[in-house]
Amino acid sequence: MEIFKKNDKLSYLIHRNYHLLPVLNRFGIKLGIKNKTVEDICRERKISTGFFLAIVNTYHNEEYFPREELLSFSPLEITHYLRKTHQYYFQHIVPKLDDLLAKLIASSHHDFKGLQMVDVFYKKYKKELNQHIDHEEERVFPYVINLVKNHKIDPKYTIRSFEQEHSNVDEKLNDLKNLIIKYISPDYDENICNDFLITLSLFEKDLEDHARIEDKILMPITIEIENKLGR
Amino acid sequence: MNRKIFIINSSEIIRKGINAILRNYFNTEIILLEKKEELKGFCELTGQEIVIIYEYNATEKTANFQQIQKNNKVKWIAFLNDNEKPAEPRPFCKFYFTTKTQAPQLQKLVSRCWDKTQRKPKNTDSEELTTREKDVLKLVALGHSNKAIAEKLFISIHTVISHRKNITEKTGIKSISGLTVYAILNNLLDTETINPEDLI
Repeated sequence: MEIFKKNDKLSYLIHRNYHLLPVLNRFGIKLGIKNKTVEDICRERKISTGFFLAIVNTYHNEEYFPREELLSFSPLEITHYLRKTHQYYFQHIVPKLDDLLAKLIASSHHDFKGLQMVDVFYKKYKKELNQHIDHEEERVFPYVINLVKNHKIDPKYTIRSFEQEHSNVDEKLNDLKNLIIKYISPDYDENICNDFLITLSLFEKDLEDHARIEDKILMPITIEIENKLGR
Repeated sequence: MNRKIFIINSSEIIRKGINAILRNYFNTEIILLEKKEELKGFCELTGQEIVIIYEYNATEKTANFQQIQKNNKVKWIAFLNDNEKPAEPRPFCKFYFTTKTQAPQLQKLVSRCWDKTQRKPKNTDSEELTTREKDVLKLVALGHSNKAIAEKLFISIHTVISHRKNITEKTGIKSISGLTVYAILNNLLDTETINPEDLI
Protein backbone atom coordinates (compact mmCIF):
# COMPACT_ATOMS: atom_id res chain seq x y z
CA MET A 1 0.00 0.00 0.00
CA GLU A 2 1.25 3.46 -0.77
CA ILE A 3 -0.01 6.88 0.14
CA PHE A 4 0.56 9.58 -2.45
CA LYS A 5 2.10 12.84 -1.30
CA LYS A 6 1.91 16.39 -2.63
CA ASN A 7 5.42 16.26 -4.09
CA ASP A 8 4.69 13.17 -6.19
CA LYS A 9 4.45 13.77 -9.89
CA LEU A 10 0.90 13.43 -11.11
CA SER A 11 2.12 11.21 -13.96
CA TYR A 12 3.52 8.83 -11.32
CA LEU A 13 0.06 8.49 -9.74
CA ILE A 14 -1.42 7.51 -13.09
CA HIS A 15 1.36 5.01 -13.79
CA ARG A 16 0.75 3.46 -10.40
CA ASN A 17 -3.02 3.27 -10.79
CA TYR A 18 -4.67 4.15 -14.07
CA HIS A 19 -8.11 3.72 -12.49
CA LEU A 20 -7.48 7.17 -11.02
CA LEU A 21 -7.92 8.74 -14.48
CA PRO A 22 -11.68 9.37 -14.16
CA VAL A 23 -11.10 10.67 -10.63
CA LEU A 24 -8.64 13.26 -11.99
CA ASN A 25 -11.18 14.27 -14.65
CA ARG A 26 -13.72 14.98 -11.91
CA PHE A 27 -11.35 17.65 -10.67
CA GLY A 28 -11.17 19.08 -14.18
CA ILE A 29 -7.63 17.79 -14.71
CA LYS A 30 -6.78 16.82 -18.27
CA LEU A 31 -3.69 15.03 -19.51
CA GLY A 32 -0.58 16.62 -20.95
CA ILE A 33 0.56 17.15 -17.38
CA LYS A 34 4.31 17.07 -18.10
CA ASN A 35 6.36 16.66 -14.94
CA LYS A 36 4.08 18.64 -12.70
CA THR A 37 3.60 17.55 -9.12
CA VAL A 38 0.29 17.11 -7.39
CA GLU A 39 0.84 20.43 -5.65
CA ASP A 40 1.62 22.26 -8.93
CA ILE A 41 -1.51 20.98 -10.62
CA CYS A 42 -3.72 21.75 -7.64
CA ARG A 43 -2.38 25.28 -7.44
CA GLU A 44 -2.94 25.79 -11.17
CA ARG A 45 -6.48 24.49 -11.06
CA LYS A 46 -7.30 26.09 -7.70
CA ILE A 47 -8.07 22.78 -6.07
CA SER A 48 -7.35 22.23 -2.40
CA THR A 49 -4.30 19.93 -2.36
CA GLY A 50 -5.37 18.30 0.87
CA PHE A 51 -8.79 17.46 -0.48
CA PHE A 52 -7.38 16.17 -3.76
CA LEU A 53 -4.89 13.91 -1.97
CA ALA A 54 -7.52 12.61 0.42
CA ILE A 55 -9.85 11.67 -2.44
CA VAL A 56 -7.10 10.11 -4.53
CA ASN A 57 -5.63 8.16 -1.62
CA THR A 58 -8.93 6.80 -0.35
CA TYR A 59 -9.72 5.75 -3.91
CA HIS A 60 -6.34 4.13 -4.37
CA ASN A 61 -6.37 2.29 -1.02
CA GLU A 62 -9.68 0.82 -0.02
CA GLU A 63 -8.65 0.63 3.59
CA TYR A 64 -7.14 4.05 3.91
CA PHE A 65 -9.56 6.42 5.53
CA PRO A 66 -8.15 9.42 7.42
CA ARG A 67 -11.44 10.31 9.02
CA GLU A 68 -10.38 13.40 10.96
CA GLU A 69 -8.76 14.93 7.90
CA LEU A 70 -11.71 14.15 5.66
CA LEU A 71 -14.10 15.69 8.13
CA SER A 72 -12.24 19.00 7.85
CA PHE A 73 -13.20 19.59 4.22
CA SER A 74 -15.90 21.89 2.96
CA PRO A 75 -19.26 20.31 2.17
CA LEU A 76 -19.32 22.44 -1.00
CA GLU A 77 -16.09 20.84 -2.20
CA ILE A 78 -17.46 17.42 -1.43
CA THR A 79 -20.84 17.88 -3.11
CA HIS A 80 -19.11 19.31 -6.16
CA TYR A 81 -16.96 16.22 -6.40
CA LEU A 82 -19.92 13.88 -5.84
CA ARG A 83 -21.93 15.66 -8.55
CA LYS A 84 -19.09 15.24 -11.02
CA THR A 85 -19.06 11.57 -10.11
CA HIS A 86 -22.77 11.25 -10.85
CA GLN A 87 -22.23 12.92 -14.22
CA TYR A 88 -19.50 10.43 -15.01
CA TYR A 89 -21.83 7.55 -14.18
CA PHE A 90 -24.70 8.77 -16.32
CA GLN A 91 -22.81 10.25 -19.20
CA HIS A 92 -20.23 7.53 -19.50
CA ILE A 93 -20.51 4.34 -17.46
CA VAL A 94 -24.22 3.55 -17.73
CA PRO A 95 -24.41 4.18 -21.51
CA LYS A 96 -21.31 2.01 -21.89
CA LEU A 97 -22.90 -0.80 -19.88
CA ASP A 98 -26.13 -0.47 -21.90
CA ASP A 99 -24.19 -0.74 -25.10
CA LEU A 100 -22.07 -3.71 -24.00
CA LEU A 101 -25.05 -5.64 -22.68
CA ALA A 102 -26.97 -5.06 -25.93
CA LYS A 103 -23.96 -6.33 -27.88
CA LEU A 104 -23.59 -9.28 -25.55
CA ILE A 105 -27.20 -10.32 -26.05
CA ALA A 106 -26.85 -9.91 -29.81
CA SER A 107 -23.78 -12.16 -29.79
CA SER A 108 -25.64 -15.03 -28.15
CA HIS A 109 -27.18 -17.67 -30.38
CA HIS A 110 -29.00 -20.07 -28.12
CA ASP A 111 -29.23 -18.93 -24.52
CA PHE A 112 -31.34 -16.00 -25.47
CA LYS A 113 -33.65 -16.47 -22.51
CA GLY A 114 -30.88 -16.38 -19.91
CA LEU A 115 -29.35 -13.16 -21.12
CA GLN A 116 -32.78 -11.61 -21.56
CA MET A 117 -33.47 -12.28 -17.89
CA VAL A 118 -30.14 -10.69 -17.00
CA ASP A 119 -31.17 -7.72 -19.11
CA VAL A 120 -34.48 -7.36 -17.26
CA PHE A 121 -32.59 -7.51 -13.99
CA TYR A 122 -30.07 -4.94 -15.19
CA LYS A 123 -32.86 -2.55 -16.19
CA LYS A 124 -34.41 -2.89 -12.77
CA TYR A 125 -31.06 -2.19 -11.17
CA LYS A 126 -30.58 0.86 -13.37
CA LYS A 127 -33.97 2.22 -12.39
CA GLU A 128 -33.13 1.96 -8.70
CA LEU A 129 -29.76 3.56 -9.24
CA ASN A 130 -31.40 6.42 -11.10
CA GLN A 131 -33.90 7.00 -8.33
CA HIS A 132 -31.17 6.96 -5.74
CA ILE A 133 -28.98 9.45 -7.58
CA ASP A 134 -31.90 11.73 -8.51
CA HIS A 135 -32.84 11.85 -4.86
CA GLU A 136 -29.34 13.00 -3.96
CA GLU A 137 -29.12 15.55 -6.76
CA GLU A 138 -32.55 17.03 -6.21
CA ARG A 139 -32.96 16.83 -2.47
CA VAL A 140 -29.82 16.00 -0.50
CA PHE A 141 -27.18 18.18 -2.20
CA PRO A 142 -29.35 21.31 -2.53
CA TYR A 143 -30.21 20.94 1.15
CA VAL A 144 -26.54 20.76 2.14
CA ILE A 145 -25.52 23.64 -0.15
CA ASN A 146 -28.31 25.84 1.14
CA LEU A 147 -27.36 25.05 4.71
CA VAL A 148 -23.74 26.04 4.16
CA LYS A 149 -24.44 29.18 2.14
CA ASN A 150 -27.33 30.61 4.09
CA HIS A 151 -26.52 29.34 7.59
CA LYS A 152 -30.16 28.67 8.15
CA ILE A 153 -31.85 25.46 9.02
CA ASP A 154 -35.10 24.50 7.49
CA PRO A 155 -37.31 23.46 10.41
CA LYS A 156 -38.98 20.83 8.25
CA TYR A 157 -35.90 18.80 7.44
CA THR A 158 -32.63 17.48 8.74
CA ILE A 159 -30.04 15.62 6.70
CA ARG A 160 -31.12 12.50 8.55
CA SER A 161 -34.55 12.66 6.95
CA PHE A 162 -32.87 12.26 3.55
CA GLU A 163 -30.77 9.34 4.57
CA GLN A 164 -31.14 6.36 2.31
CA GLU A 165 -29.47 3.03 2.32
CA HIS A 166 -26.90 2.39 -0.35
CA SER A 167 -26.89 -1.29 0.40
CA ASN A 168 -29.84 -2.28 -1.81
CA VAL A 169 -28.23 -0.79 -4.86
CA ASP A 170 -24.86 -2.36 -4.06
CA GLU A 171 -26.49 -5.71 -3.44
CA LYS A 172 -28.08 -5.81 -6.88
CA LEU A 173 -24.87 -4.89 -8.63
CA ASN A 174 -23.08 -7.76 -6.96
CA ASP A 175 -25.94 -10.11 -7.86
CA LEU A 176 -25.67 -8.99 -11.47
CA LYS A 177 -21.99 -9.92 -11.49
CA ASN A 178 -22.68 -13.31 -9.95
CA LEU A 179 -25.51 -14.11 -12.35
CA ILE A 180 -23.17 -13.56 -15.28
CA ILE A 181 -20.07 -15.15 -13.78
CA LYS A 182 -21.83 -18.19 -12.38
CA TYR A 183 -25.15 -18.88 -14.02
CA ILE A 184 -25.54 -17.94 -17.67
CA SER A 185 -24.64 -20.47 -20.36
CA PRO A 186 -21.36 -19.71 -22.10
CA ASP A 187 -22.88 -18.90 -25.44
CA TYR A 188 -21.82 -15.39 -26.30
CA ASP A 189 -18.85 -13.37 -27.43
CA GLU A 190 -16.45 -13.72 -24.54
CA ASN A 191 -14.55 -10.51 -25.24
CA ILE A 192 -17.75 -8.48 -25.03
CA CYS A 193 -18.67 -10.34 -21.86
CA ASN A 194 -15.26 -9.60 -20.33
CA ASP A 195 -15.60 -5.92 -21.20
CA PHE A 196 -19.00 -5.85 -19.59
CA LEU A 197 -17.82 -7.52 -16.40
CA ILE A 198 -14.69 -5.38 -16.15
CA THR A 199 -16.71 -2.19 -16.62
CA LEU A 200 -19.21 -3.44 -14.05
CA SER A 201 -16.50 -4.27 -11.52
CA LEU A 202 -14.82 -0.90 -11.89
CA PHE A 203 -18.20 0.75 -11.52
CA GLU A 204 -18.80 -1.25 -8.35
CA LYS A 205 -15.53 -0.07 -6.87
CA ASP A 206 -16.24 3.53 -7.82
CA LEU A 207 -19.70 3.34 -6.27
CA GLU A 208 -18.32 1.93 -3.05
CA ASP A 209 -15.89 4.80 -2.77
CA HIS A 210 -18.66 7.25 -3.61
CA ALA A 211 -21.03 5.81 -1.00
CA ARG A 212 -18.29 5.91 1.60
CA ILE A 213 -17.71 9.63 0.99
CA GLU A 214 -21.44 10.30 1.28
CA ASP A 215 -22.19 8.21 4.33
CA LYS A 216 -19.06 8.75 6.35
CA ILE A 217 -18.00 12.26 5.36
CA LEU A 218 -20.82 14.35 3.94
CA MET A 219 -23.40 13.05 6.39
CA PRO A 220 -21.42 13.66 9.61
CA ILE A 221 -20.16 17.06 8.42
CA THR A 222 -23.70 18.18 7.67
CA ILE A 223 -24.97 16.91 11.01
CA GLU A 224 -22.26 18.91 12.70
CA ILE A 225 -23.28 22.09 10.86
CA GLU A 226 -26.89 21.49 11.80
CA ASN A 227 -25.91 21.10 15.43
CA LYS A 228 -23.87 24.29 15.35
CA LEU A 229 -26.81 26.17 13.91
CA GLY A 230 -28.76 25.01 16.88
CA ARG A 231 -30.97 22.22 15.78
CA MET B 1 -10.02 -13.51 8.57
CA ASN B 2 -7.81 -11.09 6.70
CA ARG B 3 -4.32 -10.46 7.95
CA LYS B 4 -2.14 -7.41 7.82
CA ILE B 5 1.26 -6.39 9.05
CA PHE B 6 2.07 -2.77 9.84
CA ILE B 7 5.70 -1.76 10.08
CA ILE B 8 6.06 1.62 11.78
CA ASN B 9 9.51 3.09 11.96
CA SER B 10 10.94 6.54 11.38
CA SER B 11 13.90 5.07 9.51
CA GLU B 12 13.22 4.14 5.92
CA ILE B 13 16.11 1.66 5.91
CA ILE B 14 14.71 -0.20 8.90
CA ARG B 15 11.12 -0.18 7.55
CA LYS B 16 12.21 -1.55 4.22
CA GLY B 17 14.60 -4.03 5.82
CA ILE B 18 11.90 -5.54 8.04
CA ASN B 19 9.56 -5.54 5.06
CA ALA B 20 12.12 -7.46 2.97
CA ILE B 21 12.49 -10.11 5.68
CA LEU B 22 8.75 -10.59 6.19
CA ARG B 23 7.63 -10.28 2.60
CA ASN B 24 9.38 -13.47 1.55
CA TYR B 25 7.82 -15.41 4.34
CA PHE B 26 4.26 -14.16 4.72
CA ASN B 27 1.69 -13.86 2.02
CA THR B 28 0.10 -10.95 3.84
CA GLU B 29 -0.34 -7.33 3.02
CA ILE B 30 2.42 -5.30 4.63
CA ILE B 31 1.97 -1.58 5.19
CA LEU B 32 4.91 0.67 5.92
CA LEU B 33 4.35 3.81 7.96
CA GLU B 34 6.70 6.48 9.18
CA LYS B 35 4.82 7.54 12.28
CA LYS B 36 2.37 5.88 14.63
CA GLU B 37 -0.09 8.71 14.05
CA GLU B 38 -0.52 7.51 10.47
CA LEU B 39 -2.35 4.49 11.86
CA LYS B 40 -5.31 6.82 12.29
CA GLY B 41 -5.84 6.62 8.55
CA PHE B 42 -6.81 2.98 9.05
CA CYS B 43 -9.50 3.43 11.66
CA GLU B 44 -12.03 1.87 9.28
CA LEU B 45 -10.38 -1.56 9.40
CA THR B 46 -12.57 -4.18 11.03
CA GLY B 47 -12.45 -7.90 11.72
CA GLN B 48 -8.82 -8.36 10.75
CA GLU B 49 -5.83 -9.94 12.35
CA ILE B 50 -3.20 -7.26 12.59
CA VAL B 51 0.40 -7.36 13.69
CA ILE B 52 1.93 -3.96 14.36
CA ILE B 53 5.70 -3.73 14.52
CA TYR B 54 6.53 -0.39 16.05
CA GLU B 55 9.51 1.52 17.27
CA TYR B 56 9.93 1.29 21.00
CA ASN B 57 10.52 4.60 22.59
CA ALA B 58 10.75 4.79 26.37
CA THR B 59 9.91 8.49 26.57
CA GLU B 60 6.92 8.38 24.28
CA LYS B 61 3.47 8.26 25.76
CA THR B 62 1.28 5.36 24.79
CA ALA B 63 -0.75 6.51 21.84
CA ASN B 64 -4.43 5.78 21.75
CA PHE B 65 -5.55 3.40 19.03
CA GLN B 66 -8.76 2.16 20.54
CA GLN B 67 -10.61 2.18 17.25
CA ILE B 68 -8.25 -0.21 15.53
CA GLN B 69 -7.87 -2.31 18.71
CA LYS B 70 -11.58 -2.56 19.29
CA ASN B 71 -12.54 -3.77 15.82
CA ASN B 72 -9.60 -6.05 15.08
CA LYS B 73 -7.34 -8.61 16.70
CA VAL B 74 -4.20 -6.61 17.18
CA LYS B 75 -0.80 -7.88 18.33
CA TRP B 76 2.05 -5.51 18.97
CA ILE B 77 5.75 -6.23 18.45
CA ALA B 78 8.27 -3.67 19.67
CA PHE B 79 11.45 -2.91 17.82
CA LEU B 80 14.25 -1.79 20.13
CA ASN B 81 16.95 0.33 18.62
CA ASP B 82 19.54 -0.79 21.19
CA ASN B 83 20.20 -4.17 22.70
CA GLU B 84 18.64 -3.49 26.04
CA LYS B 85 15.44 -4.99 27.24
CA PRO B 86 12.69 -2.48 27.96
CA ALA B 87 12.64 -1.47 31.62
CA GLU B 88 9.04 -2.53 31.92
CA PRO B 89 6.86 -4.37 29.46
CA ARG B 90 4.64 -2.21 27.30
CA PRO B 91 0.91 -2.41 28.03
CA PHE B 92 -0.15 -4.52 25.08
CA CYS B 93 3.09 -5.96 23.89
CA LYS B 94 4.63 -9.27 24.84
CA PHE B 95 7.15 -9.44 22.00
CA TYR B 96 10.14 -7.38 21.05
CA PHE B 97 13.22 -7.65 18.90
CA THR B 98 16.41 -5.70 18.31
CA THR B 99 18.93 -5.02 15.55
CA LYS B 100 20.69 -8.23 16.63
CA THR B 101 17.66 -10.42 15.92
CA GLN B 102 18.14 -12.84 13.03
CA ALA B 103 15.66 -12.94 10.18
CA PRO B 104 14.25 -16.43 10.95
CA GLN B 105 13.66 -15.40 14.58
CA LEU B 106 11.71 -12.36 13.45
CA GLN B 107 9.61 -14.48 11.11
CA LYS B 108 8.91 -16.89 13.96
CA LEU B 109 7.93 -14.02 16.21
CA VAL B 110 5.35 -12.79 13.72
CA SER B 111 3.93 -16.23 13.02
CA ARG B 112 3.44 -16.76 16.76
CA CYS B 113 1.16 -13.72 16.74
CA TRP B 114 -1.30 -15.19 14.26
CA ASP B 115 -4.22 -16.98 15.74
CA LYS B 116 -3.96 -20.54 14.47
CA THR B 117 -7.49 -21.50 15.53
CA GLN B 118 -8.90 -19.06 13.00
CA ARG B 119 -7.62 -21.12 10.11
CA LYS B 120 -10.61 -23.37 9.80
CA PRO B 121 -10.90 -25.38 6.61
CA LYS B 122 -13.65 -24.00 4.45
CA ASN B 123 -16.97 -25.77 4.56
CA THR B 124 -16.77 -28.12 1.60
CA ASP B 125 -20.39 -29.25 1.70
CA SER B 126 -22.22 -29.50 -1.57
CA GLU B 127 -23.00 -26.20 -3.21
CA GLU B 128 -26.15 -27.67 -4.75
CA LEU B 129 -29.45 -26.49 -3.34
CA THR B 130 -31.44 -29.13 -1.49
CA THR B 131 -34.98 -29.97 -2.63
CA ARG B 132 -36.39 -28.01 0.28
CA GLU B 133 -34.25 -25.00 -0.50
CA LYS B 134 -35.48 -25.14 -4.07
CA ASP B 135 -39.08 -25.15 -2.82
CA VAL B 136 -38.38 -22.08 -0.72
CA LEU B 137 -36.54 -20.37 -3.58
CA LYS B 138 -39.46 -20.92 -5.96
CA LEU B 139 -41.84 -19.25 -3.54
CA VAL B 140 -39.41 -16.38 -2.90
CA ALA B 141 -39.17 -15.86 -6.65
CA LEU B 142 -42.93 -15.78 -6.94
CA GLY B 143 -42.92 -12.91 -4.48
CA HIS B 144 -44.21 -14.59 -1.32
CA SER B 145 -43.31 -13.28 2.11
CA ASN B 146 -41.50 -15.42 4.67
CA LYS B 147 -44.76 -15.83 6.58
CA ALA B 148 -46.65 -17.02 3.48
CA ILE B 149 -43.84 -19.43 2.60
CA ALA B 150 -43.87 -20.86 6.12
CA GLU B 151 -47.62 -21.47 5.89
CA LYS B 152 -47.45 -23.03 2.44
CA LEU B 153 -44.64 -25.43 3.34
CA PHE B 154 -45.83 -26.15 6.90
CA ILE B 155 -42.58 -24.98 8.45
CA SER B 156 -41.72 -22.21 10.92
CA ILE B 157 -40.69 -18.73 9.79
CA HIS B 158 -37.39 -19.37 11.51
CA THR B 159 -36.79 -22.36 9.22
CA VAL B 160 -37.69 -20.28 6.16
CA ILE B 161 -35.17 -17.64 7.16
CA SER B 162 -32.53 -20.28 7.70
CA HIS B 163 -33.22 -21.78 4.25
CA ARG B 164 -32.99 -18.35 2.68
CA LYS B 165 -29.67 -17.73 4.36
CA ASN B 166 -28.33 -21.00 2.95
CA ILE B 167 -29.67 -20.23 -0.51
CA THR B 168 -27.88 -16.88 -0.55
CA GLU B 169 -24.68 -18.44 0.74
CA LYS B 170 -24.72 -21.16 -1.90
CA THR B 171 -25.75 -19.04 -4.87
CA GLY B 172 -23.98 -15.80 -3.95
CA ILE B 173 -27.18 -13.90 -4.75
CA LYS B 174 -28.90 -11.66 -2.22
CA SER B 175 -31.66 -9.60 -3.80
CA ILE B 176 -35.09 -11.07 -4.40
CA SER B 177 -35.11 -10.13 -8.08
CA GLY B 178 -31.62 -11.64 -8.44
CA LEU B 179 -32.89 -14.89 -6.92
CA THR B 180 -35.83 -14.81 -9.32
CA VAL B 181 -33.44 -14.62 -12.26
CA TYR B 182 -31.47 -17.49 -10.77
CA ALA B 183 -34.65 -19.58 -10.43
CA ILE B 184 -35.60 -18.90 -14.06
CA LEU B 185 -32.09 -19.66 -15.36
CA ASN B 186 -32.15 -22.96 -13.50
CA ASN B 187 -35.62 -23.86 -14.73
CA LEU B 188 -37.14 -23.86 -11.27
CA LEU B 189 -40.01 -21.70 -12.49
CA ASP B 190 -42.34 -22.56 -15.28
CA THR B 191 -41.90 -19.56 -17.57
CA GLU B 192 -44.58 -20.88 -19.94
CA THR B 193 -47.37 -19.95 -17.57
CA ILE B 194 -45.95 -16.77 -16.01
CA ASN B 195 -44.28 -13.74 -17.47
CA PRO B 196 -40.85 -13.59 -15.88
CA GLU B 197 -40.56 -9.86 -16.48
CA ASP B 198 -43.39 -9.30 -14.02
CA LEU B 199 -41.46 -11.10 -11.30
CA ILE B 200 -38.00 -9.62 -11.60
